[in-house]
Amino acid sequence: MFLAATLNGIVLGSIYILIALSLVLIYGVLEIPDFSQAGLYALSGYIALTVMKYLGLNYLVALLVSILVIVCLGLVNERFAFRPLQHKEQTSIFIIALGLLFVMDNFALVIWGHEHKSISIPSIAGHTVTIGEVSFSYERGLAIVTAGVLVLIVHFILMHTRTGDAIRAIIQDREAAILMGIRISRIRVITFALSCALTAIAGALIGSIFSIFPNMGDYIIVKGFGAIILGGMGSVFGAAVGAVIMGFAESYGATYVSSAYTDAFAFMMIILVLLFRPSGLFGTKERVG
Amino acid sequence: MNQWSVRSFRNVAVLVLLICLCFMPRFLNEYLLNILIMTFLWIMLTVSLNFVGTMGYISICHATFYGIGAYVAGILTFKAEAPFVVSLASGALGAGLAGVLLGFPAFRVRGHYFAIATLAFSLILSLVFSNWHEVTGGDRGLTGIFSPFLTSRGYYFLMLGIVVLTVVVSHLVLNSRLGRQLVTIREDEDLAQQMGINTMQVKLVAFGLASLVAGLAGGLMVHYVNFVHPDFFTFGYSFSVIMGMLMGGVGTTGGAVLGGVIAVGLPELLRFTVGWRYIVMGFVLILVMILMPKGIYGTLSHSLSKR
Amino acid sequence: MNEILRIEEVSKRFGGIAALNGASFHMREGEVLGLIGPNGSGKTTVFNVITGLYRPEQGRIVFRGENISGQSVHRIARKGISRTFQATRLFFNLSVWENVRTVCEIVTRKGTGEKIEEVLSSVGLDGKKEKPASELTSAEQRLLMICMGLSLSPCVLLLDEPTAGMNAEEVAETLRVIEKIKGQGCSVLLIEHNMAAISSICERCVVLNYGKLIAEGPVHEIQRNPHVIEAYLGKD
Repeated sequence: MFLAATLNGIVLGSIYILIALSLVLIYGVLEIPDFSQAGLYALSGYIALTVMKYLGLNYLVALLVSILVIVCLGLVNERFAFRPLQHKEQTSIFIIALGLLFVMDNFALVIWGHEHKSISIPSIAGHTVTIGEVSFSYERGLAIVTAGVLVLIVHFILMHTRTGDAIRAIIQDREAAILMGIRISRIRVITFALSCALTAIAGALIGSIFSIFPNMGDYIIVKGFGAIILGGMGSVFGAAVGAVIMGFAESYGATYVSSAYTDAFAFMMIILVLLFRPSGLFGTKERVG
Repeated sequence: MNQWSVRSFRNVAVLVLLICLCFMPRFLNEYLLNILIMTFLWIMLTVSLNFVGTMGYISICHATFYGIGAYVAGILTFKAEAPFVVSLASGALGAGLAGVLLGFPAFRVRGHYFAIATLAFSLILSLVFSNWHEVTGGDRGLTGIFSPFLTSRGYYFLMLGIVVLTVVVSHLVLNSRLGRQLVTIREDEDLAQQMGINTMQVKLVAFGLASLVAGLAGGLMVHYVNFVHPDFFTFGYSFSVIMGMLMGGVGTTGGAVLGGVIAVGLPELLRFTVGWRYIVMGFVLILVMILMPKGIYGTLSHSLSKR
Repeated sequence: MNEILRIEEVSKRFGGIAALNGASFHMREGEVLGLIGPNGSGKTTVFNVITGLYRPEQGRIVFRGENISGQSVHRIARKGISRTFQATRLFFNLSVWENVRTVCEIVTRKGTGEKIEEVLSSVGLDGKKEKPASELTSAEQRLLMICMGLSLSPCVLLLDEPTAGMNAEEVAETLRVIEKIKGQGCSVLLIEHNMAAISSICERCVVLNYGKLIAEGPVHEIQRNPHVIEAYLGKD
């Protein structure tokens, strides 16, 4: 049971890491708490589902289509919804992001209905890997591997490319970055596109393991930002660690305490962290908020 | 128009409106009366959320306090056969208490982190509402919660009275020392602290008051529709309250009341778009946010007083 | 003269940098004490630790015999320590009168109106009551900050570069205000880069460098102190 719970924790953590990275990058570079990523997450799952079910194409194509659509949609949002208010009210931008999430939740509800759906991947469905007494579906394995590869890619981009250097510079000290001649507008778009891609992949992956439903975004956004709170705001590494911890907390809670309240454990963790250590595990700020 | 004549015009208009409202049951049919009652409930929600909005905090769990009030009141009436007033009061107090308890951890952070804490709370309670079958009826909700009145009319006047009371309280609070401190917190919270204001205490009082009123509205709602279900209290509903409040205008009682009207009125007007009406509403909000940051009421009164 | 405020071996780090490194000095009741030092020497951090914004890692702050380290900002403010900020901080969307009222109505429930008038006239802003704070001149805004600090009837007023950005006439006016404050029995801790201002109004001075005290004494002695000169070498 412990093994199963641990493996499940890794699966959940894999998905959460992608979302957490997406959010922390957007927040660090564009200074937008982008709740609309949650909507894009849900839409990605639905798009992948639709491509596979109604166009009969394979999972890889579905994944690529999702990424393409979501990144385009995300860039449209960035250009027309966020950029106009760029240097003004932070609250308004936040509300707009919430508004976009609200619109996307309802859009999913109208188009696809409120029943839970899931993506089945014919080529690997039903196949399992057995470790010890635990059998582990290929879909979960795919999720872990994909997430792992993506984390490595993101790490490589951030640490070993000029774009990555620029991103890290902006996150650390915006004004200094501008003075050094970094073109913020270009980096903004690249970062946003990268984040949307991560979100899109997360959404498509989760559809194959768990179910897709219209307000799945509401849950993931709390976990995504919760991971950032846990790991310490302002820290990309912290966000990743926080995401994994969230995954484990949820998995162990579901296994050992109650599976009906699965999500509640992750959420309780957030509230507890806020109560006792608002700056998180690797917090870089003295005062929060 | 100078400031004084705008004010007197507004006071007279409010008085006329109140008198008209008292006579509504005579002229309106069941359906429209129902809409008015729902409007009163939403006004209670937007006016109470306004206390939080005036501080500059965005709470995404207001529908959850509405839900706590509804469930507590509903369960007491249905299962314990408690008197109406006791149920209502318990619902309100329960929600108020929940608000203060949530406030302790949540107000240690600000901005969107605070919003996340409220959303987490909202999702936890949703799970409780949906899964605690023995108490809340789980996914099927609770039915058969008796209304203390036999007709809509009785309910109408009760709601009218409570809404008027709520609006008066809101006006008094926002113009009091507490109300001014709410504004300073929005303007510059750290400066407010440095000037000797116990901001944590102020925030908890405002949040507790807001959740109390929302809980009261919930108790009233559940006795009116005789039914409660977890789906009434989701993120979408909390956000609809925010939408109404923002479009009406944060910071003033009048703006909040207008917000409540918009929150009910707009979906009604958009009925013809069927499932798409909330999507349209969302887009309207986004447009309003970009074009009229003060909200409709705020922009109007600002331009009127400038003439 | 009694000691009213004492900073005892206070240390505060941020990441790898020690903003304060065993800083110690004291203030006597009723004096105007100058706090000077090169940029980055920790002067504003001292203010932040005194007012409760930061908790010192080591050492303590003693105010009127009571250890106030780590208490909350608003409690310390109400106990009698007020401050102004290096960068002007006000409730810009409120009027002058409303700004001051915010603070006055915490302390006095009745007679707030008179208190506001009194405090406004002590800095000379009573003629501009209705003006939004954002429409004041830069010097007037800095005076308004002092005014708000005074509204709490403090025993100790911390002023962080109050004359920054002012012309000679405005500086003189500000110094007059500080003299008046001292005359009313309030002690003032003054951070300033303007040495003329310091020497005209402070009897005593304390010099900080790299988070530590390097000199203390009457202003004319400080100006001749070799350690102080060395700390400022290459600077204005």
